[in-house]
Amino acid sequence: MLDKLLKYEIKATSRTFLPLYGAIIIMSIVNRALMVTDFLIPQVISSIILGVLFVSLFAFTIVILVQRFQRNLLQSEGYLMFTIPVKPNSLILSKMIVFFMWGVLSIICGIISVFILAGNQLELKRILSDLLTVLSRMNIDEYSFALEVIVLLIIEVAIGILMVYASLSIGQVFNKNKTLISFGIFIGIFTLIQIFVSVVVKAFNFFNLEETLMQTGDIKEIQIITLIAILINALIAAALFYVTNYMLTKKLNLE
Amino acid sequence: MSAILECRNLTKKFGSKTALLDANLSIERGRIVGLLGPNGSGKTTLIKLANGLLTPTFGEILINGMTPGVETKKAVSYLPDQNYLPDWMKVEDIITFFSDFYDNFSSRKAYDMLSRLNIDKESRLKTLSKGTKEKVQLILVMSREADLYLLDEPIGGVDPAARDYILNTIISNYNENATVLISTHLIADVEKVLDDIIFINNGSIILTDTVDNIRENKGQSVDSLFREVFKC
Amino acid sequence: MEWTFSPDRPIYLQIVEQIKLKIISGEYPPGYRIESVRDLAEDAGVNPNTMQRAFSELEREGLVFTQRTSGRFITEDVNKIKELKDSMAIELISEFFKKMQEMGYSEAEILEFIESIVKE
Repeated sequence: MLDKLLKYEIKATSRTFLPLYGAIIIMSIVNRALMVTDFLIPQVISSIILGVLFVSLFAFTIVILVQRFQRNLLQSEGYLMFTIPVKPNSLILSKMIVFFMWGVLSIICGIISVFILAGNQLELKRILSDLLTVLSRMNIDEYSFALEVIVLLIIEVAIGILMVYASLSIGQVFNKNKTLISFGIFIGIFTLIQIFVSVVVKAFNFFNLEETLMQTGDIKEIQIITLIAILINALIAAALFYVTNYMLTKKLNLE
Repeated sequence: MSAILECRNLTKKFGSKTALLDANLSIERGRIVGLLGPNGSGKTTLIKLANGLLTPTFGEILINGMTPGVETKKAVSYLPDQNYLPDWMKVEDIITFFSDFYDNFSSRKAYDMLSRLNIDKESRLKTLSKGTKEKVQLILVMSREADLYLLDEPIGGVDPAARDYILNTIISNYNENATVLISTHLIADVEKVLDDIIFINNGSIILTDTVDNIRENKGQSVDSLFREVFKC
Repeated sequence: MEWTFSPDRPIYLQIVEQIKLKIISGEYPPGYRIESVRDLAEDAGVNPNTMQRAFSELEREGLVFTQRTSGRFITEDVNKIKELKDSMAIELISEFFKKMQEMGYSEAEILEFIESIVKE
């Protein structure tokens, strides 16, 4: 069922993103084309338009994150989504995955736009060959470390998303001022996580691990720290997921 | 176990407010049942509990002997008392959606009913009138071969012709293995279609009986009895 | 087909009465194959269980019979139908007499009334 949920989530969100990507690419081409001319005012206008589109891309991604969850699960569409025979955790997961997808695509769109604007073939080739050289010179340790960092990054983003979902799903229990309460809960969760992390760090200090790390600077030590960070973050992510799932299963309050 | 819907001491509280108190019910298959009561009497709460949209504060509710979950959702077809479909979808999109998620959904049946009502499958739900949207929602629900149909105020905001169409669809869809529960406060219109009735008020079930019994023993219609019982 | 139901009596009993009228009037002739319960229920706008109950009653009274594979039929027993017609007529007349007597007419007066009306 998850694959079907993904299909519909993508369908629902691509109506916003694809036109936006299209507009950005087109405006990038327009800008580039105008750059070789002497038409100053059109250049300025199209630069502004492009700038606005870029900001929109960022803003839209955040807004869609919140809106999709809110509108599709916590408002009237919730009557549809919570009566189809799927588990709430699939609903949450499908939205997270699709959000990641658009995040990556947005970044790619941004990169393409930059290349259209400022790149030329020579530079592109040079950047690519430099990248390949760096990659080929990495050893296995550096590869796995790079991988760990990527995993950590993904989990961090997941935590960000789940913080929003958890806040919204707790806020929906209340009948009035849901948005305000959700926002307050978001701040609360953020604070809690900060406290939790600083407690963990203090525990590390207690065991003098920080000193050991600084002495060696060996990649293996950093790797262990990274792995532990992944573990801690995964724990936080899991807790947030659990809370969201619990609220949507046991405490659902559709109007 | 032939009872399709069972409630045992079912209670639901929202903070200090009790929406449903100690409800005990056993509804058999093959019946068309009216859940009758004024607004705010607990009808919608009971239906939401049956759908798993709410969890009981106390007691239990069973569909086919199971607590509400993924399995019961396959067997229950629910028509909410409001607009609940994604506006951006076209009619054919939502048909595909139902087809994807429900094994017992018949697209053929749905398209059949849509064409008879001259509803264009290419139109976006956003553009349809309120009455047409309600008909689409009803068609989706009735195109499923479910064990339990839960219709929350299906004839509330529609014109008399549409009401007839809806009641007619319920009759023609009847099968002796399934049960239809209609929640409404418009009793006179649905009475002819009901086998059994449940009177509910202030969260408590105050009467369960068959329509025939009431007419035979009390010599009055359910509508008339309702007015008596629920006199303000 | 027009079905009208009054709200204070069980519908299945009213259906039984209306079917009986159709039988004695010849609208449903002897041996006539009746539509399915579901179709009739849709037509009348009533619950199929109710329609079924009405027909079970009619079968019990021997006015309708079911043949497994071919469906439901009106009885071919013309005597039975005549009996039904007669008993319904008697009931109507008894009702009439009762009402007239309630109004204060004696039996003799009632008969006079009937004769004079018939002569016109």
